[in-house]
Amino acid sequence: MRDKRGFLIAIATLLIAITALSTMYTYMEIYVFYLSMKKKVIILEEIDRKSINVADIQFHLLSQTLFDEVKKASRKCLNKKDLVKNIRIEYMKSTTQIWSQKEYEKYLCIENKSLIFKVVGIYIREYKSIEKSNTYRIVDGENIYPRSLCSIMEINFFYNNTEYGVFYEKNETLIACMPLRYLKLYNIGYDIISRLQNKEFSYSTSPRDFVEKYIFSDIEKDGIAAEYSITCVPRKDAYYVCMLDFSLIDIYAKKSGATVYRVKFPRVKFYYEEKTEEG
Amino acid sequence: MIDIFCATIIAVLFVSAVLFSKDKYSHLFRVQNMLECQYIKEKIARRLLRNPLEKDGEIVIDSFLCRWASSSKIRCYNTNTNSMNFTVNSKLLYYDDGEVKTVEVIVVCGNEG
Repeated sequence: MRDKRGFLIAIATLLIAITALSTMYTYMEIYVFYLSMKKKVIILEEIDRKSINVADIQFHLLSQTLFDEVKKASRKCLNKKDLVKNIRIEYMKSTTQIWSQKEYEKYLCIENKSLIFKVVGIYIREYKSIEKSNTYRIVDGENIYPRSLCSIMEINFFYNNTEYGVFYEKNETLIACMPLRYLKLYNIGYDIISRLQNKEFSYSTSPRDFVEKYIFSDIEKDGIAAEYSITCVPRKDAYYVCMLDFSLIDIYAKKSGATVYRVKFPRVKFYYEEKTEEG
Repeated sequence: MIDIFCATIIAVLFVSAVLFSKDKYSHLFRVQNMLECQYIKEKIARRLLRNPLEKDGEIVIDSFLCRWASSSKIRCYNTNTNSMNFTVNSKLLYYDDGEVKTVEVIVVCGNEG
């Protein structure tokens, strides 16, 4: 009888111990799980913060490249294709220059895995064709207009760490805009060139008045002004060989405080005859 | 007699298991504190990324006071006293005047500062 009682006490103590220990270990397992989740959250926070930091750096690079290249293009009057090409080349050059440095390579390393970012594309568009949901940064000046020039960059971030079970992917669209209506000015300028280049004109006004009245008279309504100089030398016949050097000025961009507001065009040659009253 | 014997053996086993898990728990507590500190570090880094600290300026983020320790280091420490002492570092990149600059953010969790 006494042995039976002792046996029951031993079993009861054993059961209590098992219950207490298993509760303790279950709690410990839950605690470990909670900590591993917290670690995952911290890794994700770090990746996200670094991707924001990288995007910010890339945005600055894009803005700087856009400004420098448009400034150059406005002096050489490059077409859209060449402008985009130059922006892409310069942007990739400066990106590689920064991220190939050991210090910054290390910055992208999180828990022995690298945060990878890839530039999906760089495009040039006018502000009016940009989706309004996107945020943009004005690079030069203060205001932006429907036909202002914008550079759009799509960038993709990727991180995969199987050890912690962390996967991250994000796409960002970065838009930098300049007030200068480069493409509009370019089209107007080349329209003027095609109207004049190697053509013969005969009017009763001086070449300067002809250019003023018939060539540059339409552009003012678009908020564009012209700066030009004209030189004419006589040909063997009644015509003069005239050379026109001109730049178009974006009045809107100038008013918005932009530093790049002028596009210089190549010299254009045309033949001009100043008709006399009798002629 | 056997009941006392069995109960004693089980009690000894139980106590040793508790002592073993006590170590494990204290280790987990340390890990948790470290993770808390890393979480705060991320919060501070994110905030400093959005609002860069001005030269000679200081900012309080979640009871952590951050100020420049040198030209490339920001030191943040808890203004409330705490028995734990952890130091965690992170880096921030800023684009300034055509070049990328690195700023190290040192977060001291505890009363070290």
